[in-house]
Amino acid sequence: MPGSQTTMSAHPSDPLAAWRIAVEPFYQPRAEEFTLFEAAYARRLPVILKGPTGCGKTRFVEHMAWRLRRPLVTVACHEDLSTGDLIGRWLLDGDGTRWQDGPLTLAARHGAICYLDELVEARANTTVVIHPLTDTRRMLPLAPCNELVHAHPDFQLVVSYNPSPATREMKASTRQRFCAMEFGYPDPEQEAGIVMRESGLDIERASGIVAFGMRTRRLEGAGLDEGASTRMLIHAAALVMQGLSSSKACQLAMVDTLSDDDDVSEALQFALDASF
Amino acid sequence: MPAALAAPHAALTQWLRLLWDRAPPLRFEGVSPYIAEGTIHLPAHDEWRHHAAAAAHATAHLVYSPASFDGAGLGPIARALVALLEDARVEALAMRELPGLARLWRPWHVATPETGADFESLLQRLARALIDPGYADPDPWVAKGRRLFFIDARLGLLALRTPDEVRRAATLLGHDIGQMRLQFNAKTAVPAPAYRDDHRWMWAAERPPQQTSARGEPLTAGDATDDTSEADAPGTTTLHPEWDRLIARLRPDWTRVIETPAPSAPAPAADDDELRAATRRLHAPLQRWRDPAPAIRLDEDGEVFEPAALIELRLARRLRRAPDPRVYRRAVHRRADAAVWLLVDQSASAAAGDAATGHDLLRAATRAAAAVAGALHTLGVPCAVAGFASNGRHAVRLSGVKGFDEAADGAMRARLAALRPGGSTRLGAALRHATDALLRRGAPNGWVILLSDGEPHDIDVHDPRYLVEDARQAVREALRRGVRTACLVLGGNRDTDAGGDVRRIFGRRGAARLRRLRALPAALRTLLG
Repeated sequence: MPGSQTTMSAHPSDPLAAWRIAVEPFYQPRAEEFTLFEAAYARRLPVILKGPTGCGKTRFVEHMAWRLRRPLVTVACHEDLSTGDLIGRWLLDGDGTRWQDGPLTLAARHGAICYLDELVEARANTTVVIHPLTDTRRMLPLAPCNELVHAHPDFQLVVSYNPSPATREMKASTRQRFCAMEFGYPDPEQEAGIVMRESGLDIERASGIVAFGMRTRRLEGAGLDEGASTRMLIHAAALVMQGLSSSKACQLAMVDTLSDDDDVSEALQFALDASF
Repeated sequence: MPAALAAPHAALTQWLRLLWDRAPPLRFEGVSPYIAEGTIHLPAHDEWRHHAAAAAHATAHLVYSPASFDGAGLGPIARALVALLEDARVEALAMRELPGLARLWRPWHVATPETGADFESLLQRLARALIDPGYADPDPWVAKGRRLFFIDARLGLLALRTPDEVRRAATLLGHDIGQMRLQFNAKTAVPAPAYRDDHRWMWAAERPPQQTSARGEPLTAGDATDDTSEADAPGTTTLHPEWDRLIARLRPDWTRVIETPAPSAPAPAADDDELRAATRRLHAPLQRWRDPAPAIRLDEDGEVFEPAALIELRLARRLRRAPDPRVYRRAVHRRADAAVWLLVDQSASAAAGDAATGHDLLRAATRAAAAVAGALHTLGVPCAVAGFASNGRHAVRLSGVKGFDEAADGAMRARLAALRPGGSTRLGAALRHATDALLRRGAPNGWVILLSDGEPHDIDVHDPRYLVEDARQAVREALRRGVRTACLVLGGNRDTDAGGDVRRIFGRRGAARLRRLRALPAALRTLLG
């Protein structure tokens, strides 16, 4: 009786209620991302979202989950993520032990999109649990409770991956199970539009912040691993809405955050002085 | 001191890249700035901010100006005016994009009507009128210059968009100067304000082509030392790529690493008390590289129940005692299957004495290496030791002191003691070589530990940042492939710059200073985290 084992949910009829997305998350498409993702979802193919930090990967998958009316179960991966953190574990309660589904099992059992953010951060022995879910078997063996979960027809796996020099490479055995969608920073006009939309700032100041952000990306590989992300630009714009000057906001949200290297910080600081 | 003049001014380079995505070669020499063949020459100065106005102005020319101007039929006065208008034009364009540059340039413009009414003073007054909207000059010629330059001065809308338009405006203004019978000696005139270059690039097309030396190409990794005799040396030769920071790319097969066994010393060296004590005290910090002990540790949260703990918990409840909530086995990440490569820098700088101890740095490095290798041998962790020194990119020599499976015995200590200082430090090549060797060994937890004074340099590299950036790249590549790196910096705190280089290469937590052998356990604890 697999169903009776998931008892933690407040909604016995819908164990995924907490993961459903009610309001449309804003996402500005750059090309045909929606069509591509919908095609992959139609065949339930697992998808890698590739791209630099803060360029909109997570927002995109939220938007797609909302569009497809599927719940979205998100797990942020890290080095100490264990298999149990994904598939579940036995817990102790008053009378004995009880199996608790992990987020991956929950998504596979009840039909959600499972989003593993920065999958490469997890250790290889954790990553392999997704393998049987990502090929034609579409199943998840739960060895600790001796159960084989067949994925729900609605289930899909999505992972994100930031191929920067500072991160590990993804292993071919994992990589080749996925379709990949490449993300980058949007065009300046689009990016200004996103910053305006997310922060409420006017076009002139938003464009100024975007222009400075784009300058910082020129140091990628020449002092910085990554330039300012769209997320950072939105933070800067939000600080301007809070009453700071553009220059102070960029200082707070970008310059002091991007680098600890003295030379790079100084160059960024001086470029900021020149920009506003 | 030429070394100071060649100071890298990395911040200046990065700043120009931030502003315009340009990285023109910079030279620091002479008294006034000029541009020649795409290279910006700036007066020598220690503080890069003093260069900022001149560098930004010169780069603005590279970005917004045509490659050269047609000077045919232009006299010295008209040429000076073309130069002035072009200066103001590129600055206006730059400030439109980067308004903050106005704060950098405007303070240099201090001419007023009191400066004078000769031609050079009028030039300075016009220059100020064109960059400073708040400056009002009563002179009708200056006012005319402003009218010709702007369509709308308040909006900063430029009337001069092409070289022809600049030339036409300059001719008109020059005609007026001629009418005023003002004298001009182009030979003695100095560009003013001082941050502006002397415009020799403008008329460069007229001069006969010079014998172009290697000036256009920055000297980074030279091919000068193609020392073929090195190829005949015994040992295995491996080619490795090298990172060129200026093109931000790996140059394939750029360095040649020649690995030879270290000369064996006649008699094995005994270990003294200090070394023995240091080796013993390393067992604790290096323990983490050994297969973890199978002892079961408990945790409140985990993967698998520990049955004995569950029984204890039930018993405690029956006895109405407070139960121990730690019923899971703690997840112990196996750090086993480590392999370590110790790289000893035997470059000439390692022969320098350390003020603190009086011993030379190479000796300190070999003793530290002997202690670490000895401790790892006792713990059963495979460890290789090699000295390295370079003589240009074709001859990075690696002396194998100890292979992974050899014993850390008296013979190893003797080979270490026989390492002689000499040559340079091409760190990136040595790091890549050690990384490859560790990966071939297949240990999932590989470490390269460098013992060095931490100043990469080589005879065929004149850019002080080149090898630092290459080593930094090698460290990152290693990390991506699962091999970690760390550096024990030998010697006192005599040179803070070197410390900065090491931190840049290995990261803030990847380098620890080692002043005496006794401090080795603490230094390794810092590095291994």
